[in-house]
Amino acid sequence: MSQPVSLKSVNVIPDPNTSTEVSNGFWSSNPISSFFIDTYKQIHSHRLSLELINPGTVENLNKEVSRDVFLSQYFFTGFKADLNKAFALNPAFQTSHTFSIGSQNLPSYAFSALFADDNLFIQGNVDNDKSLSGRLNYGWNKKNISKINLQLSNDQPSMCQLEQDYQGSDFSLNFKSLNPSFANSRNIFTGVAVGSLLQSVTPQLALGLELLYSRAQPSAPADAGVSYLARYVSSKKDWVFSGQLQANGALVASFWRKVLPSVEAGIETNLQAGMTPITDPVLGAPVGIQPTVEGSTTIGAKYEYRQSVYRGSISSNGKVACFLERKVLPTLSILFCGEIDQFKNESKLGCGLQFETAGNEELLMMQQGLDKDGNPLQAPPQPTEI
Amino acid sequence: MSEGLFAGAGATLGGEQKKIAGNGKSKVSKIEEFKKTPLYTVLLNGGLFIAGVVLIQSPIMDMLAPQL
Repeated sequence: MSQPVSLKSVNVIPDPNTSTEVSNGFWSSNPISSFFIDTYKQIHSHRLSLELINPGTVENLNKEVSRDVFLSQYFFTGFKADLNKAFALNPAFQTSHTFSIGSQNLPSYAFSALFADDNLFIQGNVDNDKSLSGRLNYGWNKKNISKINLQLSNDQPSMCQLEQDYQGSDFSLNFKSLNPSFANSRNIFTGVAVGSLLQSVTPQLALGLELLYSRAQPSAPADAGVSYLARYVSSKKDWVFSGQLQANGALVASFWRKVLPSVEAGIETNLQAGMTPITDPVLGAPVGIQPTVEGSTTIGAKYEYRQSVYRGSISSNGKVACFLERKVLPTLSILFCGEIDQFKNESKLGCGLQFETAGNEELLMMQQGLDKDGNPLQAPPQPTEI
Repeated sequence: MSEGLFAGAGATLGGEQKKIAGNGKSKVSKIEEFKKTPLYTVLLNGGLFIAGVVLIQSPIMDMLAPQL
């Protein structure tokens, strides 16, 4: 006995004349397109079988050494006091006042505020030199992040940088443009444009390229260059090697190792190739050019404990530097940094205080190691206390 | 006569000293010349980098980390 067929079942039967079927059939039956589709599928399946991971961004290629271990990011001179106040943790909202005396780089007073939630990060700084800078990062999803950096200064030219990050399963793409403009009579791009790709080749090794294009004036010729990048992470992730051959003739090699959970060490070598003119000793007129290479190697270590962080470095240029940060109270840290240039007989010294205050009662309790009901917080295991 | 003999010997010795000094001077100048070449900077910093990596990877670095 035959079953009655419903109208829904009839509609499910594929219709050979639908547009999808026609298009699939066309692309798969076409020998040229099918070759490309099959090749792409083979490469994709091969990539999946390699179990590659995202290599991180080009910006963070040697982050472990240059930002974490070395103290150049943290170094200051003179005396400074930071007053930080956190109003909320999620979304995070924090303000900071920085006072400084006797520093060549830091302004006498600076105010900064930041707001951050899961997708958005906004930070703004203003100082007594009427210099204003701001940063906005917005994550459209986990893979796509747009960034805008602005800088308006009294003495220096204004800067605007637009950036787009895309993080694939085994590669990272980044496009950024500094002061892009088409507002000229010939509608020609002026500014700097940079595109970079970092691709994992094996689970440990990633190779990359960075293309740079710049044109300062519409009438001036444009410059272009290619940088080559490499990053190797050990299978235990306890050491990282990275190398860059930059378009401006610089070769940067860095090596980082996590010795213990609280101790890291790193070394970085920088070789900069260039050309210097040869002048006639009698007439003083240029008679030619000769290749020159300037180089420096810096080795450093970072010791991080629950209440203190120590960073030290020695450079082949004769510079010995250290940065110490010690939390003496839950709300107060002391900073000390010093550098001696043995070859030039120069020294720099910096001292600072950092106050962390809470903007509400819950944060105040957290600073004291208590939850909102006054019970001790169950903190995760921390490095050894020193 | 003896003055003349000694004078002659002294003159010969002085000549030898000049030769030795001349050889030493040319050796120093070659090293100084090499130090001014780009290859010296590349070799020096390359060597320092390799030595630094060996130091960081060696047990000496483990000993520099306090076992608390």
